[in-house]
Amino acid sequence: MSGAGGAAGAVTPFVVLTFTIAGLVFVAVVVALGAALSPRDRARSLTERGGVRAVLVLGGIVPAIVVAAFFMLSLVVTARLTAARAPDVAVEVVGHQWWWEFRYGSAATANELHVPVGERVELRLRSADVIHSFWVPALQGKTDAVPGQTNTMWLTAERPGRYDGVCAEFCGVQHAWMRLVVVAEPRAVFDRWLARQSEDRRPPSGPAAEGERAFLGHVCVDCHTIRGTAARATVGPDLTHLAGRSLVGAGVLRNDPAALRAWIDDPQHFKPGAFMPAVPLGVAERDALVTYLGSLE
Amino acid sequence: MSARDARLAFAIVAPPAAWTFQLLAVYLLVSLACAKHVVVPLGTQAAGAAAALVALAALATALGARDEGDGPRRFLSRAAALAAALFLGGIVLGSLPGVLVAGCA
Amino acid sequence: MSERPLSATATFEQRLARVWESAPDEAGWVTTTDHKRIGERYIVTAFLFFVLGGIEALVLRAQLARPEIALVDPAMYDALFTMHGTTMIFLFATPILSGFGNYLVPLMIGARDMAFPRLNAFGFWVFALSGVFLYASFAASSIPQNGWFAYAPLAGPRYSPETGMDFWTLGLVFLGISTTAGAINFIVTIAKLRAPGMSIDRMPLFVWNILVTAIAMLFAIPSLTVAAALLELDRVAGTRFFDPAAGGSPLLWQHLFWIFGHPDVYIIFMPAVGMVSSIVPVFARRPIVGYTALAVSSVTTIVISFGVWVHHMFAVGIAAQALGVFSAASMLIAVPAGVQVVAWIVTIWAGRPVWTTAFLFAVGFVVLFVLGGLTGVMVAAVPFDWQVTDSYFVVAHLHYVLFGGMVFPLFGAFYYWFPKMTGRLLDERVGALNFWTMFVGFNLAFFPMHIAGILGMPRRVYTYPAGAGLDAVNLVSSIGAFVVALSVALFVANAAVSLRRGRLAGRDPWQANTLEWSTASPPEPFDFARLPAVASRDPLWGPKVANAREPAALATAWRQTTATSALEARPELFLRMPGDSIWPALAAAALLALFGAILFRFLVLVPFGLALLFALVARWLWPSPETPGAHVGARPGPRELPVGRAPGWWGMALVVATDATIFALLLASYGYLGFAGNGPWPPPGSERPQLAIPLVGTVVLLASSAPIAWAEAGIRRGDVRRLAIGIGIAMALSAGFVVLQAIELTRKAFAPQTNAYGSAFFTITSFHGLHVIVALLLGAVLLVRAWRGGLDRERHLAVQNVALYWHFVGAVWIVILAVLYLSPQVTG
Repeated sequence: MSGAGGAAGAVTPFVVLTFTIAGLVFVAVVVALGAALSPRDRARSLTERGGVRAVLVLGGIVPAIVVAAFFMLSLVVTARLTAARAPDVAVEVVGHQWWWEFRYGSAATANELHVPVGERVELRLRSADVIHSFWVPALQGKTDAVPGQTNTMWLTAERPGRYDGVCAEFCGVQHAWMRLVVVAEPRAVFDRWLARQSEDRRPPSGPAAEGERAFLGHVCVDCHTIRGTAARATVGPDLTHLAGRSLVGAGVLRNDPAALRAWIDDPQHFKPGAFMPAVPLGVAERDALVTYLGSLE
Repeated sequence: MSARDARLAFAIVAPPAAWTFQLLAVYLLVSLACAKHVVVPLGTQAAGAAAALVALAALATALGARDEGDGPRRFLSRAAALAAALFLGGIVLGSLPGVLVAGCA
Repeated sequence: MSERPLSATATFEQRLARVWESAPDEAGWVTTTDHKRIGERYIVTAFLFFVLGGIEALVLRAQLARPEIALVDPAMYDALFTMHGTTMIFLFATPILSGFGNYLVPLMIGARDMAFPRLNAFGFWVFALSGVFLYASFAASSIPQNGWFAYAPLAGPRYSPETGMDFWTLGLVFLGISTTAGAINFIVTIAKLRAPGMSIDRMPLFVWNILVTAIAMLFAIPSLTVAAALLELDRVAGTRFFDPAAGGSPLLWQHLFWIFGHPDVYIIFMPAVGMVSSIVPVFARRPIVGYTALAVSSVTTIVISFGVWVHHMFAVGIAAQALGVFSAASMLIAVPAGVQVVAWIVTIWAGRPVWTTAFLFAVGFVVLFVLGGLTGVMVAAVPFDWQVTDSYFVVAHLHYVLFGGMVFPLFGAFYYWFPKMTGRLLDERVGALNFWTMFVGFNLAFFPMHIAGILGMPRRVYTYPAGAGLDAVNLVSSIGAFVVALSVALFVANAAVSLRRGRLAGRDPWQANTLEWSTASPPEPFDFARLPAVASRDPLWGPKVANAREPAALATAWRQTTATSALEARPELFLRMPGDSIWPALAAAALLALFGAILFRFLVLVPFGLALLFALVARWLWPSPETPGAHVGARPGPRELPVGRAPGWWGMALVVATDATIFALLLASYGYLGFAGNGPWPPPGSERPQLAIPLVGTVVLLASSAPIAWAEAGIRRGDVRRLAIGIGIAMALSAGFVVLQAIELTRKAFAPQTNAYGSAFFTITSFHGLHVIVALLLGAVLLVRAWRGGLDRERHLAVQNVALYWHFVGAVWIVILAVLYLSPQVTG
């Protein structure tokens, strides 16, 4: 909740104010309780009527006024957050057990959402299986991805940078590693990125070509898409431009050759219960595959 | 049941019933408008106003009865007055989203 | 009832004891219906579950103490947080408070037992066996692992095919029977069994709070039952309630679950508030300030709690304007909560506080509850909630409300009422240490979770990335959890030692105000030798309590207590209470077998299980041979007493009320599925219902109510023949309805598995059909009883009850006809 996002920007002062009010109320109650508990020899005198009046005024009317004011404020903020405005960019977000699919028209990527800085991004959330919830704490509150319906949320990143996000709704055994990153970058950089993402993979050469054959010759092809090849399955993330992403396994490892090798050798070690099996590959074949995946920029 | 007990029963039951009615009516009307594009003009406002009137009537009834009858009945009418005031406040709060947050027209 | 001979010179107390004592052997242990023993069993059993749930929490905290470690594997972590939540909510918090209610309510209201002692015993056995049922999942190595909220479709057959979820759904339906039985018992006990003179404006606030809690249970539990039953139907019978591919709705689950779930928070919290309202005035040494306002607060809080369920669903995609209304309702609860807190503070302020451990826990509770309440108002604000929901902030909030709001009062209650239950005081110095370790440990464990949530840590994750700023807060939380565990261990040691060597308490070690302190510690089996007559709110602080009028010969002839009017507590009846019985325990065991059969998919056994259950319950309710009045023991009192409805009739009316809630929720689910679906309703392929057969059936079913009413009027005048003829005709008509419905349902072109429409249609009609069959069986039981000479002018409560049920089954059908058959003619 650092206030880097436009939406969080509307929320942050509200949150600060909320904590301030709550803090004041808490201090008032503790002081009153302390005064009530102060040691003494005799009971204080209090008429029946005086007691009831104190209870109703201090306990009923005062809280009612504070709550009503706070409630109105919260409605004003809600209205601002949900005000309909045409978005600059629209992205389809699909929650899967346990990764995020992001579709920009024909381009598809996973777990790394690129957005242009300062622009209003509309996310259309769906789910391929169970309920997930999209949350990037620094940018925006949550919206659930519910199977059978499409929910819409908006976010705006006011400053360039990388923002961590998570799945916030328990969605099964690897809920913990269903993370994502939002990359906010200047419009020009974003456009270049998107143009690249829309392309097919560049045909590989050398060991990478061997890697592609390994990919297409094993079960990898049953789950993943690499555009430009025969791999078109949509169970797992689209890998066409995997090398451009910073993380693998929805956040469980960084994307470098050593980690990728370890991941392919035994995904279950890093993400027990995930649907990716360990694929029986020879060492040479595996290394060629890693080289290939590393070439998919 | 005597007329006095009937008034007391109204003072007790009507405010929570009115509050519940407003809650469910607004939820239904907003859902109809947003999901099915069926808009009932001024529907939420009417529901809120009707609920507020009923709660107000109950509050007046309870206050009018606060010194009537035996101990338990006096207790019940005072209790009913407090509850009616609370639910009336709740109905007012519940009508604010219709003013401050955009619906689906 | 013990059979020991009694000397001719036996005192009144000895004679009373002979009637009220359970057999001292093992048989007596199983058959006892003493509310105090049942209450203690609830408390001890639920405390064991508290320890189990606590151990689960410690494992969770150990796993989260450091980032990216693998102390337990992810599936086990999920199983443990599921069982932690399920255990703490269902097997600890609710039943332990029921235990205190069971023990204390009759003593506080001046009665000798609960209104339905056998139902009370049944409730305990069902609770204990459902706990065993849920924990058998560990033995079966298939532990539920979808959280205590079990969201569909994750918990459905496709994503959780393992038996674990069946343990959960069936276990909770099973347990709901116990909770519902307890709720009915509390309501009737409190409404009808208060000592003469204890008009509702003189009821102890603890009793007020148990009453509103029980009413909440009566209407909230059905929603959980419906949710769990529909989920289990999806899992075992292939229905499609929650399957979006077939018109089902994942959000239907959330609505049903939270319509139960939010009131449940107050079901847990309200009795604890009642404990605080008991403890505070005693140690402030003055009557509570704002009695009326406190009673109103409890009632209104419970009412409002039924209207806030959507605040658990702010992020699911409901229109913002609708969210605002539920946000308003949620914030409204702050007002009665504020009244309560200020009433306690003003009471303390005006009094002369005496520091005891019980009082310490009550004061600690106020501090923690205010914090939990403030974060509660925060999460009621829509934009704030979008930010923190499903994060650790909510984990912090809910533990402040439930641990701070319920466990602290509970420990206060242990220190306060332990002497009444055992005759000995808990050690107060260990008590102070117990309090401070718990207070410090609790805040260490849960305060940092607010920060973790704001930093972005989601709930229900088995680990978190290192270096994301979450390491320190989690480590502190884990340390705090172990400090809390230490504190609980201190308490257990204190209780174990004090039980044997604690200071003797005497009747009233605290100079308290309510009637339980006028009994022996521990109380005699009969509670009160002379039933008290109450003239004030704080009877023990006023002039000496007078004795109520009661014919001594009746009081020592059988178990007897007095029924009074609901409002003014004017004496109405001298009730003859039923004796100890084995049948409640056996009926609970039959339920276990029934749910076991569904769990292991021996579905052919289900009808036999239901029949066995019916037979056992009928046997339990069958009047014992020496009973002269089958008026569920009720005997008209002296002539000048106006005779109201018997408690048994009120019990039946409440059964009907909770059952009607189940029907209402099923019909609302049908409507919701129609609304949430995108196409026409009924969906294409499921033809619009034909009306001919159902309309004939309706006439036949409704007609059957007339001979029942005729039969009931007959037996009121002692006409057994008319009773038998009337019931016979009604049974014939109802049987005709069942046949017509069977024809109607077998001719449908769709099945329960076709789509959500078919699922809802068949579930509702079959559930109603089951009710008609039960009515038929009840009619048969009445005929047997009439034939055996068990029904006459004086004894016909059973007829009244069956008639009530019969009319209810007919009335429900009219609504079903309108919704399922008539409404599609208009809209379809």
